[in-house]
Amino acid sequence: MDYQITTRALDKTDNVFFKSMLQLIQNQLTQKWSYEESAHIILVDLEQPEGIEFWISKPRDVFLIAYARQNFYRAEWFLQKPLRIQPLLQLLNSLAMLQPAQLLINSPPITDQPAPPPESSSVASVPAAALPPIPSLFSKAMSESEGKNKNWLDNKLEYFEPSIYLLGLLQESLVAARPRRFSCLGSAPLYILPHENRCFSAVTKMQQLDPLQKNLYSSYAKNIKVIDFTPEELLAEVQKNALRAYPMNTALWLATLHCSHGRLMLGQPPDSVIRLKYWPNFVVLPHDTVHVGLAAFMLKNTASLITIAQKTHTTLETVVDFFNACKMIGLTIEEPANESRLVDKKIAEPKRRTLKDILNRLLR
Amino acid sequence: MEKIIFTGPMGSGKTTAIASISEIPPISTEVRCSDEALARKETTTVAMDYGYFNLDDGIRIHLYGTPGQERFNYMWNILSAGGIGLILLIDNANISPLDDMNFYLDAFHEFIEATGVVIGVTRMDINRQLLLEDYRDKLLERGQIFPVFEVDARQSNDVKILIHALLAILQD
Repeated sequence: MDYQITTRALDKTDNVFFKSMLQLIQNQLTQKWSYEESAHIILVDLEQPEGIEFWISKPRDVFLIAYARQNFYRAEWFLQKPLRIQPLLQLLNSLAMLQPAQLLINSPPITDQPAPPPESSSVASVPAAALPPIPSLFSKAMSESEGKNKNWLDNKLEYFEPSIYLLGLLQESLVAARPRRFSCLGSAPLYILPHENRCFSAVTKMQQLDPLQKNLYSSYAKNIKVIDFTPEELLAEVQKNALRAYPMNTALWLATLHCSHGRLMLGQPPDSVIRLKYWPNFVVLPHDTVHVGLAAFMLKNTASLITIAQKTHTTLETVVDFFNACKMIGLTIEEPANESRLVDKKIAEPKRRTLKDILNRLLR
Repeated sequence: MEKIIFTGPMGSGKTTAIASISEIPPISTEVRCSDEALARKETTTVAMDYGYFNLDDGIRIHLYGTPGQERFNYMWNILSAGGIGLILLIDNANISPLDDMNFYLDAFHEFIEATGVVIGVTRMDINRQLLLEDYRDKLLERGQIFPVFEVDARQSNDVKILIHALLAILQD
């Protein structure tokens, strides 16, 4: 039987490489496969906004294969980047074993995901959005025992690659010590001055970013306009626009919190136990109430992410996001999995209630 | 009686911090400085500052500020007895802020052991001789990890963060 396959949203190099590789492995394939511009079996690059948009639109009468560095969307059929012969060979030979009808009725196993960020040229009226989260996985994990959760975490691990978000641009700029401005439609630009470890923004209350302002921190790097400045030029802009100064950590923290979506950073071991070195400086780090409680727990206790979530009655997604942000600004210590240390709580329940009431009163 | 104690050297912002969150204008026992402290402040607290806020169920949370000058330190134990926890404010523009921090942590050692402490460093905008990392490093030398935040005692939000962190420590 002859099969046709096409690609969607792959960059030029990957596309050329895929076509070449397909020709190269023909004599090792069990069936004949050809590349066509239009085919119902489609390899979709899920690290590109166009690819994500296509994927979650659930197109009919096509068979989709996810293509990315990690299987972010837990697709049933997945090809890992970068392209290699053996995985492609195995994939195509496995597909050829399916019944023909199966190849036409597959649909992406994702539900209730928000729209992905569109290309920058088309965002005039639609704010950019971040890679959609998968919250259902974590609420499921929270309802199970730690043993089951651990198995879940091992088998269904979700990672994200910082380099495809604003976070990656910030990291690159810090390493290169380049003063820069980052902007995307609808959000106040962010200026960074690496050698002074400061950033600047028109936003006066980072603690209360509205959805449009959050866009920048959750945006794909591809949708962000980057302009280089000299330090003098940047400071002149700061003065001209009366921008407010923040520590650089504020930008790193926000960028991490808003692009994590409950996923670990690529390369993070899933089973290490962690604690904090010291308190995050919440005066300059925008936070939710739950983050303060997490900080208190993670300073006293060395535990896995799942244990932290269970003991603090917080969703695993929130714990992961907080851990990522703390790690990004150098607050975390990681130890081997068998080094967990939990401190017994001593406070009496009536006292705990009083303390909680005080907190509620203060936050009103 | 539920109370939160504010302490720290003279001029670190204790009275101001209480004022920023108290439901009433704080009651202060201030007199004009008569000694070398006059160069830094015109008045100083001789007994205590007092303010409060009420919880929804009517429980009153009392806020006590200790006198900053060491010669009034006999008041420290009296005021802190039965307290929920300690907010230690350190003036970063003082001559030796780290020595100040060490001094007060030692002075309130037993109270801190029984409850908890959060450290707010004030006036970092005026004098950046030390950064928060320096305070944290000094605490690590002491074998202690307490929350340390840069705060403006005039800002109620900053003071609330201090208390929030204190409550989180106490609950955990």
